[in-house]
Amino acid sequence: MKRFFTNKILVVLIVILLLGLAAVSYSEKSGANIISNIVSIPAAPLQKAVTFLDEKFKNFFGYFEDIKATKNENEELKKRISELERQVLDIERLTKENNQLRDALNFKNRYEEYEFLGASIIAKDPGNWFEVFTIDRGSKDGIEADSPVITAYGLVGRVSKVDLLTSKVVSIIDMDSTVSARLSKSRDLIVVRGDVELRNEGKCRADYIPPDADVLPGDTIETSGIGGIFPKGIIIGKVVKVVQSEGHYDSYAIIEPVVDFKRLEDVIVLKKK
Amino acid sequence: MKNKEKKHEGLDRYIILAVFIFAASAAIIYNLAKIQIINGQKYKEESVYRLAATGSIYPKRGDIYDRNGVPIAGSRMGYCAQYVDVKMPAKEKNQMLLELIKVLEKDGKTIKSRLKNYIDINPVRFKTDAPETFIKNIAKTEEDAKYIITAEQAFQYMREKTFEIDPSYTVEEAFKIMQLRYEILLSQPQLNNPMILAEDISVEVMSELEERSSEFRGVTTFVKPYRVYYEAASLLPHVLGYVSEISADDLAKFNEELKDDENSVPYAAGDIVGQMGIERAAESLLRGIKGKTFREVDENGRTTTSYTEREAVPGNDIYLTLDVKLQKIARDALISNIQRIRTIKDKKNFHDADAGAVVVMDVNTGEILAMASYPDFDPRAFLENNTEAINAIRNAPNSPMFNRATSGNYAPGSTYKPLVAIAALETGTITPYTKIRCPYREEIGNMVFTNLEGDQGYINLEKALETSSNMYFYKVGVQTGIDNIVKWAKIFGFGNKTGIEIGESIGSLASKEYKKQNFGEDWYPANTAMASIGQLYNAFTPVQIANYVATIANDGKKYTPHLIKMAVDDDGKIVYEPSTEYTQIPAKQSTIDAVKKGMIAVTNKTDGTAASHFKDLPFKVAGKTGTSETGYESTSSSNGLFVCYAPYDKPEIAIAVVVEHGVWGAYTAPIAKEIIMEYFNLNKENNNNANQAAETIDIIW
Repeated sequence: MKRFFTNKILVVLIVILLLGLAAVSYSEKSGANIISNIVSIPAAPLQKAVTFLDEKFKNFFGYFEDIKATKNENEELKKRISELERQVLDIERLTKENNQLRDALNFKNRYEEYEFLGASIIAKDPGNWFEVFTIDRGSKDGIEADSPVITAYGLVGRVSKVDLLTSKVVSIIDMDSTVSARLSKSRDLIVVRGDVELRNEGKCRADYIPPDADVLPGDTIETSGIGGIFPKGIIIGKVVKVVQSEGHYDSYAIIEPVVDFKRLEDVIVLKKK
Repeated sequence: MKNKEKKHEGLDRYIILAVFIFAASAAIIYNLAKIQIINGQKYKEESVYRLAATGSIYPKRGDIYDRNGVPIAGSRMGYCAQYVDVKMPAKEKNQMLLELIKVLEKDGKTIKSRLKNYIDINPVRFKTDAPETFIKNIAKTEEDAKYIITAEQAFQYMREKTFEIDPSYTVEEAFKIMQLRYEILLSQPQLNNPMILAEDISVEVMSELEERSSEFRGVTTFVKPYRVYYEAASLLPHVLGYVSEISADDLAKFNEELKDDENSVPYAAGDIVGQMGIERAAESLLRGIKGKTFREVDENGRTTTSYTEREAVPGNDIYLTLDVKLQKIARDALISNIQRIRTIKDKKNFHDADAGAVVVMDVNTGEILAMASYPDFDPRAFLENNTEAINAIRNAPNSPMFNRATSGNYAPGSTYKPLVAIAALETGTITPYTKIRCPYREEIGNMVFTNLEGDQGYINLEKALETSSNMYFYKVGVQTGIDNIVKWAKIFGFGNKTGIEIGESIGSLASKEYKKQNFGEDWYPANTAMASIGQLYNAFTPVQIANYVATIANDGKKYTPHLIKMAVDDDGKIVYEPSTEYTQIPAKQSTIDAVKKGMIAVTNKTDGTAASHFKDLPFKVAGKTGTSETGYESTSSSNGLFVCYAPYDKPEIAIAVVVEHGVWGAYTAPIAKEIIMEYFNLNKENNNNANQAAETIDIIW
């Protein structure tokens, strides 16, 4: 103990750290990146561990439920069905995988100026949806604020804040998100925004649809590439409903994003080369 | 001892360290307590703090179509950017605003700033002789204001003190920031009074402002419908008019008119209103009702609740009586014939024909089918806010914005003679068969008058109209008396508004009152003689003349000339239709018939003044030429007029043509003929129905 305290360098460091923290807690704007790094670096593995344990527990209990259900099944019938089902699932999985890989490849070709950086979600803000979440990549990986975040399916959002090892991502269903978009079919330029109500359903809205635009439910919406943040042609989602408010010159649409914001684990950050 | 001392030293350090740690911990705990316990409630309230803001939903202005639904004016979607001031450090704000200016500049938009009225750079100088108010605005204290004297001082003060602009910016950049910051300083834009940064920005700039919205704090965009004029609009600029931002005078005037209407929404500065023509006349039909939104905003400016307090109601669509196809023919014919007339070799031609108007009217309804005025302008210049083009239009020497068809006052010349004939017949001065001696020269009321047609011997009314005999009308007019002529002129609508929707002149009627009022002189019989051939103070608008001809054509039924066929609301319901009532002129049928007979002779008999032009038509056209003297005949050509209606036996349309300095009335007749050819589908090369039409007409003939 005595030796510990006589280690002058350590003592000075602790004092500086504490004083620094005290100073920061005093000032109104505690946005200094270094400090938040200091906090978030040790916190990152902890958050990771919590998320990991959570997943494991879920799987563990799910397993028992499965067994319970299985026991009630007719053995012979089940065998045949499961065999057929497995075949179907295999086909579906392979088709999906094939498409995903193909999509991912397409992305790569289209966005040559970007480097693809895989990232895992390690924390998220409270709520059912991944509106704002933290990923395990930060400034040390070359991530910058406003870097676009995608999955193989389509657009997730953008990086809003970068720390050394982690970054905050604002998803397209969050109220802080605005994306310049295009109706894939009619090519009309619109704006996709998070909506105070729709975000609770994992959806967002497309504003500024011109009165003469040819838009129907099921139409695809993609990024326009002219807003300065997102590159062109990333799929955002599909039109669920077009709403024409009385007296409004333009109409808006409710968008179902292609990315499932309820189940989101790994994302890709587009890093400028 | 030494050891003890050392021990002491260690203890001291330990104490010092403990104190430090304690102090630091205390500071942290104190602040935590302050945040969570003392101010906890306040912060919690602040975090759910809501600001209320109302906004506008801009209604779509009604579309304008021709009678067949050809679009003339419509709307397109435009975007605007607005700003609400946010609290942030000067350095960050200046950087953000400069970036914002750079994005807006991509559209060629510059921030409109009042700062430019006071100060400019390169070199830095005042642009006003009285910079006191400006200095007061920028000075942080009154004391400071005393020391700002030169423009350079003011500039540096703004840069360093007022707006705290980083020295690393160039003078130009700093000036741009200053302009925007000065405007923000003056207007203090809050949620309820956002400052419009730029109107009608491109979709690209809107997209950038939106996508980068987390960077551009306080900046939002909104959608607004903007007027568009289609191709057809350039054919009828005087009828259509144009729209632009409401003037201070109109704002006060319109809101005064709306004052008593509880359901109305008052006009606001920056609103777009009609400035001329139908856009102006039908403003209340076209305008629509502005909607109102209500929203709550959290401290980050994010909308947390929003609803529509009042729905916007789009303006009504207007269908004009004009036929764009006929309008094009009328306008083209007017322009090409003005050019042709300039080149005609004639002693009296000063080759100065440069303006004119034509009005085509449906005689059975009063609908205006075509109305052109030349020179004209492209109304789209006003929508594009093209200052250069607008100034060119406004400053053009022969007033292209002036609607000669409704506001040009022209002496009717001989086109007035049918009116004098009606007055004479109705007063009993003459019968259709009365023959009057028309020598070359005769003294009337102590003045010698000559007959342009030479000595015509004894002629009746038909011959007089056919040859446009001045002597006949000098004599008959004087016998009828000016009061009787004026009485009938008024019945036909001269000297009064026709009631057409758009702005019009009442013209002037040569009468005893007019002379007394304007010149303080008594009336002489010689004046009557001059007035009887449509000269002296007689000056009418082409639409008045067309309406008068139409009234003769349909045997005395006087309709109100109109341009709006109907107005239809958003649900397709007709909300406005013009009155189809007419006034019956109290003239005997025999009187009208006698005048018509004379007018048909003009275009058909060999002596007729416009005979050569209408010979090859499958039906007869009744018309009258008019050559009116302007009083400057030694240096410029007379005005040429032509009026007609067709077909003779079953009139459908009436036409009035005026060409300023058109030399002779007959020179302008081809304009009317081209319109008739188009209206009755007689241009074989561009219409399949032409043969059929010609056949039917053959039978009538």
